[in-house]
Amino acid sequence: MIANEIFLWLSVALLALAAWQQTARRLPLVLAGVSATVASALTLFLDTDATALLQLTPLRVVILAMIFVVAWAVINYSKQAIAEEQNAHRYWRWLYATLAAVILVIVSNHLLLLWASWVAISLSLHRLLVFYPERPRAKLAAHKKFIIARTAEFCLLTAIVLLAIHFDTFLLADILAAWSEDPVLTTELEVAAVLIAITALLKCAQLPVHGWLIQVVEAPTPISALLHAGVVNLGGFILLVTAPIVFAVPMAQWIVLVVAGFTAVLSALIMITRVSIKVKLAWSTSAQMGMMLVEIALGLYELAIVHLLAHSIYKAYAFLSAGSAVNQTLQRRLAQAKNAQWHDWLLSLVLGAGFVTLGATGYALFSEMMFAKSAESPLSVLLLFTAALTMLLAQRHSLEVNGSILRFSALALLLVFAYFGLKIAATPFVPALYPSSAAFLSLPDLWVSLLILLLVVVSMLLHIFPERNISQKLSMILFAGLYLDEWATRFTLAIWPIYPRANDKSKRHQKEKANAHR
Amino acid sequence: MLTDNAEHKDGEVELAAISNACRRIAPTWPLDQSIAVNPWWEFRDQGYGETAQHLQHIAAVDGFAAPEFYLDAYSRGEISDWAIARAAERLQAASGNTDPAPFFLQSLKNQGKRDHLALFSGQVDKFRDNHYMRWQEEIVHQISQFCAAHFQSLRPMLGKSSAREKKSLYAHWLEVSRVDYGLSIVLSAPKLRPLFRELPDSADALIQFVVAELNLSPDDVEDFALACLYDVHGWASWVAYRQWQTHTATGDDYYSADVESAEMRELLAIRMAWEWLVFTYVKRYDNGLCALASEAWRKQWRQRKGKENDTETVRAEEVWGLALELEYQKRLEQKLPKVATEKQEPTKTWMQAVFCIDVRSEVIRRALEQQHDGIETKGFAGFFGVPLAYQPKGSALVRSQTPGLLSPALRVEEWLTQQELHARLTRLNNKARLQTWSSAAPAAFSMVESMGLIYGPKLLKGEVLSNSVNDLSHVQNWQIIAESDELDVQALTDVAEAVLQAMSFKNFAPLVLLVGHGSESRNNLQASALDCGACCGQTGEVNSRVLAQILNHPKVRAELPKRGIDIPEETRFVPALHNTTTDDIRLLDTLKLQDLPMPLEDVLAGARSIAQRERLTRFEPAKAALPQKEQDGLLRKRGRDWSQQRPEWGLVNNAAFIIAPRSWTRHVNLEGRSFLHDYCEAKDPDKKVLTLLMTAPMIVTHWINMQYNMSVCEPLKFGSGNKVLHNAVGGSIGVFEGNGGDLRIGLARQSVFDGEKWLHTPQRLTVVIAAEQDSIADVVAEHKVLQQLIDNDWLHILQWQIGQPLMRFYKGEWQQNIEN
Repeated sequence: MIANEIFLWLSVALLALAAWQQTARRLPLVLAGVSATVASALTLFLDTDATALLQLTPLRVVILAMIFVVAWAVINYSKQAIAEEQNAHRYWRWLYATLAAVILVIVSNHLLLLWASWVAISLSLHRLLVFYPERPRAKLAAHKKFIIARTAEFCLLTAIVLLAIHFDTFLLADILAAWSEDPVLTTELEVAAVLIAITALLKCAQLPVHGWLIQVVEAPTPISALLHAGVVNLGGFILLVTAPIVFAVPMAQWIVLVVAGFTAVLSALIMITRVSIKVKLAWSTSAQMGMMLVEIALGLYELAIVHLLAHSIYKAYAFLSAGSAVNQTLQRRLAQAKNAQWHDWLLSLVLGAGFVTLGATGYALFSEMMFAKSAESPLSVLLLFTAALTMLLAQRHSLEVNGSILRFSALALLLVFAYFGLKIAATPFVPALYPSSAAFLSLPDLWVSLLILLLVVVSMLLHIFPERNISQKLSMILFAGLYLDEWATRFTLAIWPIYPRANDKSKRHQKEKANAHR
Repeated sequence: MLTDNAEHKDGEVELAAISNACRRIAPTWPLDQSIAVNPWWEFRDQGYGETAQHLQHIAAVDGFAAPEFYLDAYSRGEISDWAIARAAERLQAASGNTDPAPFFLQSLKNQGKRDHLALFSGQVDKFRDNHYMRWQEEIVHQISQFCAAHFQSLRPMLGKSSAREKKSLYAHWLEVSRVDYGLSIVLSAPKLRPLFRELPDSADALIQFVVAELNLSPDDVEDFALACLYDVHGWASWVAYRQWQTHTATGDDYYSADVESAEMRELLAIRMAWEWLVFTYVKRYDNGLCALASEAWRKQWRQRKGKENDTETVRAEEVWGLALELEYQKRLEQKLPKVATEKQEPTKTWMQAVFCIDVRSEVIRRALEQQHDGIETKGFAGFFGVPLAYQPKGSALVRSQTPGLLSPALRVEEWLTQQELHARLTRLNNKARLQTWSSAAPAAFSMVESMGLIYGPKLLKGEVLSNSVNDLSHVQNWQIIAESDELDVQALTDVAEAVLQAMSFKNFAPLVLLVGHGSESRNNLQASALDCGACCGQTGEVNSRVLAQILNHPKVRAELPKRGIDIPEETRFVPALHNTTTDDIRLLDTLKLQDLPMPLEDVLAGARSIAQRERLTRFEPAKAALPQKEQDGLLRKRGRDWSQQRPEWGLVNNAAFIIAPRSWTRHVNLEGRSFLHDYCEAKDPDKKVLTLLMTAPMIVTHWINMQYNMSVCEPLKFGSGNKVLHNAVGGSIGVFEGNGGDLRIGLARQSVFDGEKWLHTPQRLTVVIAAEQDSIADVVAEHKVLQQLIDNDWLHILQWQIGQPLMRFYKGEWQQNIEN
């Protein structure tokens, strides 16, 4: 064992101890954070030992940092919010246990250790989701999640065993090294890749197994924040650390592109039909996870890393500040939007496309200079960004005052700068051996572009022509969530009910019914 | 219920029954103006006990606290045998018992879970295999989700805004439900969806249809309808609010646009339709279950009449509830002075401060008066009698700052220059557009990728959006407008005159503070419940600023003597705001005050410390001994902490409303449990002021009192549950607890419960009035609503004359309240 590994173990042990002690204090988290920082610093000076149980790569360090930030906010928030609960000690036990397990997953190099801590996260989180066991809907969501999680774990374990059989090791670093030396696909590798892709989709709450993520807003606000900002990313994480192997398998890549791609579009559209703030946020998570997975499948690792980090921070904040929904509404009511005219749309589209082209060109030049690798952006992501900027620029007027095109262009340029700047900043965190992104207008790129066009067209239709027949039909279907989760609910109830057993009369009735059938 | 020979020809009886049920629901205000309401306001024509009993039976809601609450109070000696005996006697429940206390103690202890009528859907659930979703739960969920979508204003979904055909609530629901394949799946009822086709297209037809199909006896229709509405009581209350808006116009139809006259009936139709759906579904596809459920259901309704007369347990609660109130009244009477205390050595009054009647004002007023003998305080409704609505200049938003019972007659906006206005509109536009953009479906991804990280610092600091309307109102100069014209001097003088007369000033000190109040909290969906109820759930800032501007207006001051009001020239009216979280009193005017006997900062700081300590001693005894500075820091932190679930205790434990001269109560510690309104009978010969006080502020205090009571007695229906689970619906319509269920109304658990015990004692309001018996009786005789409230036991009216025992007014008779 080497020094950095000792500090990592210490970090996990401190959190585990806090769980054992059921403490509401922040000190264990601070010490764990310090310990992890020391470990990260040491990693800079030491050669990473690929035979170690634990391992820190730049990617893992930056995710670790994000986890600590979110954990700090969640614990800080919980101290006050949960203080008066009768079972607060249980809350703290399982919160700290979840955090310990999350940290362990992020730093595991040994795949069985990773798997075990992965399971531990889910089991600890389950206890937090049923923190109010008297709430049937909370139980329903937890049971649903329990079933999905066990399925995902089974997939992952099978994949791990297959990888271990093929490479004759459980250490991820060794596996990746062996793969880069000899990238030959076998059936077991293909199966493993598909299973990992499915694991990621299950853990990232992709359609049609998204229901648990939506319904766990039954849990206390800070738990929702932790789940949506931290735990749900695990699917993305597992894909990011195994990407070279998984995406060498076209079937795995296409499973992600299709499922996550549809999820990104549909969840985003369903999101706008939701009636309550937390449920809106939950659908948005499902959509955002979809987009992140699509970016990984397109080989846009640096963008996916930015997405993972930024989304976590944003979503943690959005959940914890859900109590300001009333003030958000007031802010909108003070300056209600004026519908944009067609010439606004046209001008904005031209400007938006121009800004994005400018940014992409600058990015490509800079990237080639800095990292000596070509950084061609796929069309799809540029399209998405252009659509976003067009909307920003076109819808700049309120009923009372016109927004200045200059000011809004400046804002758009700032966003372009931030977007490409962050991509550049994230590039060093992508392991050197990773393959480059899908080519401009390659098949995956075209597919995703198509989906993005679908998203833009449908949301424009709903927004600009809400009274058209087709819009009304669409909005009803979206409002019903495409009837997807109902099956999951029914299935979950069938194997794990949430209510106490019906009284004896009912049993008698069932028996009578059975007899009658005979 | 399924009587064999029920006749349904008499449609008019049914219609009347349905209308009766529909008018029984009290409104609930939206989150940005959540004023307190008595959820049983529309039952005031019935006795309190009778209502509690009736609703307990048909909807399983409680009007009294749980037995343990009274038993605890008894064991602590807070309810004595004397009070039980007295209460039993008053309710004529003693039934020949010579020693009622042990009897009622026993019957309270024996009180088990009580039966209540189930809806048919609930009855089916009792027999349903637990591997299936429960009907009733899914029904409430479906109706609730639909209502939220139908009513949310900013982004009308589901084609509601269609210009071609405005759909009524029921028709809209039917349209959406007929294409919803999900219900059949989730309920494991594959043939459910086609049944929606069989439902009539109009609400009235549907109601007739269901009454006939379920074979309801005419006697049962009203209760059945009420039980249906109580199953979706939150949304029914929202509909009641929309209808309320049609007769108290606030100039703001943001929440009540397109309200239909029969919207409650539409909602009822939806809920009744579901009863038919369940009934028909099991009848057609699960005959065994149908037989079981119908039999049990029918039996319940058949036995109903008998059960309602079996009143012993309810009586026990009533006796205990009244006993608690009598104990309080006894203690209160002992506290009130027996002889008039005039000031020992008359000090010149140099400052008068007018506060809201709010129970929180009582504490700070006492603390302020302790600072100097030359300080007087007054109690008045916190909107200061100026019925205004605030419209931030250049915006479409209109916000009432007038009690929910009244309509604002004036509109005020800030006086801004063109440049200031343009700058403001631009700033507001930029913020609102960025917010809208961030949540648009195609933009959300890029928003996260480009600017998601800027939420990092906010996340660590806990920074959240403040109330942007409040932020606009910190302005000195106001335009006061009626209809569309600015008020002239005569009109302003009219306002000033009316207000000053109602405030019953004897003389004016050189400095008169008009102290509105507001709470401070962050990230709090129910923030407005802590603000001033008289200002429709806003802070009193705008009202106090506007009134001060009127009263300081030189031309108005020149006019007032002509109307018999002499204000010394030196008198200044200064707007101020009492922060009820920190007990700061902040002056809203930057004038230099000279020649005061004591520096004003010292006065206010001194009062603050006393009030802070008193509140902590009352609510958190563990923190009472902390040094003053730490207490101050602690309370300040609460107002700024985004994770704080209870920035302050609000109006918890309110118990009395005292209408009397302040000099009578000045030296009495009323423990922050009393609303106080100044009243000087000598200055009110024609009883105009008394009438106003009994018909407006008294109703408001009754509503507040009942909201707190019911949030404790029936937290499920009349309380909004755990704040940690709150989830704002439709922007600011209300909250869900968790991801769905019915809309929740009333106060959150954290507002009345400290984790171990209830901090609000549910007891009906005791109103103490210092006026002649005849005056009070006359006012009551003229107002039916007062007779209802008094004679049906919704509140207690006691008359107070210095040196005399408190006299109780009940059913037109005067009696000594508590004999010695």
